[in-house]
Amino acid sequence: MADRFLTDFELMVILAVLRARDDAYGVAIAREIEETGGRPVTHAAVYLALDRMAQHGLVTSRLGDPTPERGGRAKKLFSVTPAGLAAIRRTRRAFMALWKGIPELKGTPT
Amino acid sequence: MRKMPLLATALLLRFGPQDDSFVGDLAEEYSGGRSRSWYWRQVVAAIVLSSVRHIDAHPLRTTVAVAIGWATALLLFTQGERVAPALAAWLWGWDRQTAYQTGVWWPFYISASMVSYAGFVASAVVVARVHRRQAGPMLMAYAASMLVALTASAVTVEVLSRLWDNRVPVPHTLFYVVSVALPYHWRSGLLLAPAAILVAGLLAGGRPGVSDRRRSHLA
Repeated sequence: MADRFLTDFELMVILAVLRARDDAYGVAIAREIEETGGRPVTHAAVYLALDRMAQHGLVTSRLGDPTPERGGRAKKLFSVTPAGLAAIRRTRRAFMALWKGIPELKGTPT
Repeated sequence: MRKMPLLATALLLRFGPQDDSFVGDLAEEYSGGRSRSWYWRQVVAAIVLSSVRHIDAHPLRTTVAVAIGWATALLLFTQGERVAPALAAWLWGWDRQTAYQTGVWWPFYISASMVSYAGFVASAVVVARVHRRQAGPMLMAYAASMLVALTASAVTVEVLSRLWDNRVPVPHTLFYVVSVALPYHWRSGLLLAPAAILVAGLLAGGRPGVSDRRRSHLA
């Protein structure tokens, strides 16, 4: 899957995983996308994207400790693999290349 | 810990992603003050998204599940013409000959509805039992196929009724599928038949084991 590009939503999710660092589990990732990215999400959509990226080796997961406020259920903590970082860079390059030379998009992003 | 909405949680565990961590995430958010409507929205999204994903990933399994459901229902409905009048006779002393003279058909219509819903429920139980580990998505697919079939047959009957002056021949076996979507049922079957399939499947399939839920991640 060396040449895989990320969808816009996958890109948001994987960047949120990187931003959440050691605490990158469903709730934190969804919150990061909503608060920093300004895009409302459902947890299921986030998990689906993570699952898809895990199947392509872009993220990995491990189980944390169960906590009482989660009904005794463990957190699933995600981290980005080197292949995931490469996919982010590749996708960014593709977006930037497409972005360049469009007069309507010149100037400061709003 | 704040108690999670029971029905929504039951539906999530039965038809949703079957991932303990995902359920834990929703529990944590709900304990943290999220509203019931937020919880329900998350549950509905999870069920729809995970079912669509599973159906998309396993088209053959889905086709088999839907075929099993329809075969079971139609097999039962072949007996409808024997069972429904017998039921009406047993419950209300109704008989067809008298009905032609008196015009009293409601006992038959009620009995036929019972046969229809018994068929929907029994077929859902078979689908849930055959596909125990993937019962949620398979039942969703079967219920969706029923909704499509009922809608299509309701429209067809409506159109043909206008063209043929209300004389639409419906094969006896199909009558028990189509009738619940007709105007004299207030087209209630469009909602109730898929709901009966999902509820019956929910009750028949049981709750997946914890090991099953850990093994599959939104798949």
